[in-house]
Parts: sequence; C-alpha cells; structure tokens
Amino acid sequence: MIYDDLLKFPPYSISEKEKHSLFKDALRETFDHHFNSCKPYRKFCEKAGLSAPLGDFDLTDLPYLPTDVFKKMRLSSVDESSVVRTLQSSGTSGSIPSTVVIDNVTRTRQVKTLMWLLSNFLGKERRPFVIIDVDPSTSSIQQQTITARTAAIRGFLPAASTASYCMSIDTDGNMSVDIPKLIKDLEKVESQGKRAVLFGYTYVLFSYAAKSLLDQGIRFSLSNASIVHIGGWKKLQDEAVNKQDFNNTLNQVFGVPEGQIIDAYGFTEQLGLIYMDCEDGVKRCPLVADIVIRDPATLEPVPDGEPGMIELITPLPHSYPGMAILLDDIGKVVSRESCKCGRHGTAFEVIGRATEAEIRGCGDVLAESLTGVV
Amino acid sequence: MSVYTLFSNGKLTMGDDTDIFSGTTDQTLETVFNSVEESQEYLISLSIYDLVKFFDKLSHLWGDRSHPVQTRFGTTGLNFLLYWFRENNILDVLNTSLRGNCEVMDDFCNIPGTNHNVMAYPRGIICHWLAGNIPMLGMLSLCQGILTKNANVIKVPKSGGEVIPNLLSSFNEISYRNTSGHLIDGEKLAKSIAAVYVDTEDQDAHKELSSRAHVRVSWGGLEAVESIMNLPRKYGSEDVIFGPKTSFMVVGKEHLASEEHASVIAKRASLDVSLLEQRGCNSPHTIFVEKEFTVKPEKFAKLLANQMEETAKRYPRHEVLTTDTMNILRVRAEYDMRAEAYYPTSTDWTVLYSEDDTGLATPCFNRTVFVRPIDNVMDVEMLCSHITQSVGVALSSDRKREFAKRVMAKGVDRCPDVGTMTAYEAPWDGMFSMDRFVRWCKI
Repeated sequence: MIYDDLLKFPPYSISEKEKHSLFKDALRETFDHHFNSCKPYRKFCEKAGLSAPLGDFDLTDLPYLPTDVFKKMRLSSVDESSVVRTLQSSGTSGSIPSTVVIDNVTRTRQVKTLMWLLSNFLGKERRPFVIIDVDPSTSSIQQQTITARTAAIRGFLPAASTASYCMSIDTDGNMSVDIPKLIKDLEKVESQGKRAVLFGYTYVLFSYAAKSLLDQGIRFSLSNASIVHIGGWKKLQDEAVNKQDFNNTLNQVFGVPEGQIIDAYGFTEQLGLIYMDCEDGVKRCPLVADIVIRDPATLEPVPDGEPGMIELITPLPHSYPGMAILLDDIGKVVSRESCKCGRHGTAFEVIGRATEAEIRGCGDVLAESLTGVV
Repeated sequence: MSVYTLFSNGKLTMGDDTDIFSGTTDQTLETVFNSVEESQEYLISLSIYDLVKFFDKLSHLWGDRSHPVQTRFGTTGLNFLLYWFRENNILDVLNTSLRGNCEVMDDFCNIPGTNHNVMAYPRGIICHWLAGNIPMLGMLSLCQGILTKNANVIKVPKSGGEVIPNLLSSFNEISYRNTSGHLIDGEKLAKSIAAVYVDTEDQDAHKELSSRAHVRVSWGGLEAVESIMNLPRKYGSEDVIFGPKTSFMVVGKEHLASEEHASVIAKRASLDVSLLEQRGCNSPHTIFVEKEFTVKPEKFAKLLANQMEETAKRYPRHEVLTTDTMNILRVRAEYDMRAEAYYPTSTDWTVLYSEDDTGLATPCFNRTVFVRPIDNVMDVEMLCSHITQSVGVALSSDRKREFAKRVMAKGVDRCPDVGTMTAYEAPWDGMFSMDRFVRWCKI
C-alpha cells in the first residue's frame, strides 16, 4: 500500500511541494477503501459530494469527522473478524470515551509510524526509558479493549532498551507516583551516563513528579537525556502553568536541556501519529500527515497565522474512517518553511483547548432528565 | 466578600461599561440594600398608570435606532422588550396577574364578580439572581418588580452581566409630567434599583443577598437555582424560581395538507428555533410531525430547512463557541451517516431528521432541531413532565384544547401556537410573577 511507501522516507525529509503527490495518492487510496467499506462513511461522503474513486482534490475538500462522532458511533471499515483490538480514549469523569476499532493493518502502521517518528527525535538506537506511569503489562495483553493511555505507553516501548515504571495502582484503581522508585531509577541512569528518556503524561510529570522532587530539594544532572511528555496542557492551563514554566521546572529538577524536553501531541482517533516540538518550538506535520485550521463559525479554512480549530489528515487508519479528524483544540499554522534543524513539514502550534465556559441557564436540562419514548 | 456594584443610586457605577469587574467595590451589600430601601418610597408614591407610562416611554426611547441601547443591544433580544414594555401589553399583563384590576396597586378595589375589596402591597425588596443564557430576561422580572412597587437588587451573571446596568442607566432619560402635573423622574425611580456582581462561590455574599430579600427570584440551571433555594432566607419571604425546563413542538395533520401551508408553519417554527439561539427554556429542540398525510415528516424537515436559511438572514446567528461547533458537527455527521441532515456550509443552523428516532432529542442548541415522525400528537403526553415548559402547537383549536389538557395534566405550563413559543408572557412557569411579588390585603 502507498502508506508503507511513505514510511520509506525520513519523516520530515520532503518539502511540501514534493510531498504533495505521494501524500495525496496515499489519501486517495485510503479514502477509496473507507468509502467502499464503511457504509455510514460512504453516505457521509456522498452528502459532501465525494465518491470513490476519488479524483483530484484539495485537502480541504476531504470530509472530516469531529472526534466526538467516535463517542457516539462504532465506525468500521473492516469485517468484525479482522478487528484485533478496540481502543478507547480516556474520557473525563462522566463523559463517554471515544472508541475506535483496530485491525492488524492499522496496528502495524501505528507501531511503525510511532517508531519512525520517535527515531527522528530520539535517535535510531534504543534508549533506557524511565516511565512515570503504570506498567501496561498489568493490563492483559489479551484484553480486547484497552485505553488509549495504555496503548500509548505500549506504543513507545519498542523504542526502549529497558523500561522502568514509577507509578503504582492500588486495589481501588487509584494511581500514585512512586517517588522513591523514580529517584532510584533516575540515579541509576545518571550514574551510568546513559541517554535515558523520561516519559510521562504532562500533568503527572509536572505536578506529581517534578514538583515533588523540587519541594524535596532533589536535583539530577541528566544533560544527555530527553523528556517526552504527552497528554496536553488543559490541566496545567487551569493552574496557570505555561510551557515556559513547565520547561524551566523540568530543567531545574532533571537537568535536561530545554531543547530536549519534547511535547508530543497526539490523540486516540489517530493513534500512532505524534507531533513533537521541533528545535524552533513548533510542531511539524510529517510526511504522513497534514493540517487544516478551520473557523469555528464558518468552518472555512483560515489563513496561515490565524487561530482556529485543528483538523489533522492522515492516511494511517485502515480499520476505521479516521483520515480527517476535527479536534476541539485551537491551533494555527505558523510556517510552511523548513526548520533551522532541517525538518520539513507544515509547522503549527497548539494554542489549547477552548476555554469558553458553557453558558448554562434555564433552558439547560440534563439529558438524563428527559424521559419517555413514544 | 467582593461586591462589584454596577448600578446604584440611580447611576451606572462601572468604570468600563463593558466590564463587570470595573464596578465599584467600596459599597457593602448592606449599603446597597439600605439605599434601595430608602428610595422605595418614591416608587410607591407613583400610580400604577405612571409606571405603565414610564415603561411605555422607555420602550419608545430604546426603539430609537440611534439610541445607544438599541445600537448596542438591538440584536440580543432587546426588541422583544420593546414590545413587552408597550402600554397595552403591560396593562394586559398587570390585569391578568392582579385579579383583573391593576388599580389594586394604588387603592382597595373590588375583585370583579365578588364582594371582596383588596389592595396589593409591595413585599419589600426583591433580589433577582439572573442566568447568563439570556441577559434580557432579567429586565422582565425587574420590570414586574418595579410595577409592583418593590425595591430591586439584581445579582447579574458573569456572562452578559453588563447588559442590565447599561439598560438601567438610561432610566434617567425619562422624565415627564403625568396628567395631574406630577413629575415622573426616571432617575429617582432608578434609585430603588441596584445591580451587583458577586462570585458564584462567595457564599457569604449570597447569604446576605438572600437574607435581605422579601422575594427571591432565581433564573438558571438546576445547580444555580438549588443553590439559591438552599440559602438561609427571611422568614415569610417568597421564592419565584425559574429553573431548568425544556420545550418541544408538535405539528398536526391539519397543517400538513399542502406544501404551501406546511411552509407557513415551517417558517413560524424556524422563528421559535432561531430566536434566543435555543437557550431559553421555551425554545424547542424536537419537533414531532404527524405521519401519513400529504406533507410527510421528512418533507416538513426539508421545508423547515429552507425556512431556517431565510430566518438566519433576517436574524443572523450569534457568536459560536468551539464546543458548540463540535456538538453541531457531531450530530450532523451522525445524522448524515444514519439518517438525514440538512444544513448550510457554516454552523448557522441544522435540521436533523430520522424515521426511526423517538422521544425527545438531547438538546444541541445553536439552532439545531430534530424533526421526528409521530402517529398521533396526543402520544407525546408520555414525554411531558414538570420540567416541560412549553409545547408549541400547530393544531386545530379543538385538538389544541384536548392536547393542552392532556399535557398540562402532566406538568406542561404553556401550549403556545408555533411561532410564539419564545414570547415571554403571564403566566410563566405556571405562575403570575406579579401576584407573588405583592401581599394581598383586604378590608
């Protein structure tokens, strides 16, 4: 498949113009597959005026699905017998998680793509990982449904030469960072001088690990290590902690240079793809992805530099029609030029999740208050 | 306790009239309450007809296209207030609410058809807690508070909280002599009103507001109104709660005989869906259309879509939040995939139709309406409860009466004709507000 051909190139090696043709061919192939294999998606595309085989198109023409659709519908482009796993997002308390079905093709692409991207930032050699999370092997490998969190941790493991975990989970399911274990693991990699990778969720890494060590006056000198964090900034935004504060604190505690503290942006509906901070502090679309920013009212693409809702496009998903997904994160395209580090790909910034408070009033009746079926 | 006083002593006290946090912070709630209480005497000295005239003049003032109130708030529900404040409407509401004779506000009067002579006295101070969904609503309960000669303290919402103080600041532009030659002074009248903002979490402030109120008026969602209801209160005080409710609509066969006629109903329905951006408790989210007549429910949905587009041109959509966009796109995608969805390229409006869906749809707001087929409109009785505010009807008058009796027995308060669902009227939520704002005294 054309998708696999894309992975033969280094992720950020091709300019926008050169990428154009190959990327679109892969999208065309993926679109035709989903159109022909997923009846609801077919209907959705026909409504948008598109059908297979897809002719010439602009990226902005592709019909996009909002992430929330996967909370309501189980969309599949493969036979049920091909589904090897069901992935669920980590919904917030009380909210319904997204569910996507994974077949072997998608799973393989996810693993390969993640490694392809990680190696570009962390190097081809596997490195010792100190992971501030629960050992994913505590979730049964055989489990049909796993959370995106578990899948994310597992996804990074092929890049690890060794992996140690510094979070424990009690019988009630409550998780807590094991600080003594974290200290022990970091002291070990520090003494061995290895190019370790400290990995964890953004909020946990800052609020439970770094701050705890900072309060205890504990410092490390891991100048050749990297920190990779995922999960977004919403919680830290609520606590008025910005990216600079975050990086400064982590640099202070762990001794990792700011240029090696990598914010990785990803989401369940296109798992396998992560967008990591380049040296110029922005994220870049690799060869297998691109971005459109849309105005929330008109839904039209906005000019580069203007903020709007992020839509990410990739031919990666094979088992479900997730090739164009609209997120509720706000972002903007920063540049279409290459980075000083040499990486190509549309550069964008994630500004954050919408912070507008929903206005509630006398017309807001909770859905569960509505009863009755005629 | 931080109290931002936005309107007091007849004047706007905001440094920046768009920012509630620019209100003065040097007044305590006690000072605010004392001030309005002292100024109530002037209000009581006015006759009910003086007050009716005052609001009529206010309506004309705000109706002037060049007036700052019109230019600033003209697209946010103000124009409904202009209609409501007109003399004939206010008299209608007053007479309906006050035992058939508004003059009971001035003197003892006979209740028509009885031997009873009664007079309506203001209760004292009304404290209004307003919701942020429709800022103009606060003026309706305030207006009724003034007409019943009560002093009023308004706790404005965080969102849209600047609206009421700015409206109040134009009261001092009304000054006229009544037929007896007495000067009706808008600024003096306005001294009996104050607008403040206190934080939702500031329990001390809310307790103080509650403890000084002879009437507590609360608008909002369940959490908001329950929090007010649970505050300590003055013994003998009255509560007027406008809590969370939902509404829907039914279209009967008698209006589905032709496309032409159905389009008329669809046009009216589009107004009900579009005005207030469905944020009012009286806004419909689901429309049940009787099946098996000339105009089928799916066809009605298409006709409605046409009218939604036309209505959007007359009444452009307000600013949309990103969360709203996601909700809208989610339902559109879902219905595109398994049913039918009609919408423009923007997020301005959405009509969703499904043959198979039953019951009330989960509201999506922002002019998103779900059309559902039904065998007989009478069957919706099962969907009604005390949290159903209005069921808009397009029915013959006989069927309307029968329908209304059935659904009202289940808790529905209003069955307005389609096209008038968003009109605020008396009674509201099963109450005549002004009746609750007065003490009935008998000789």
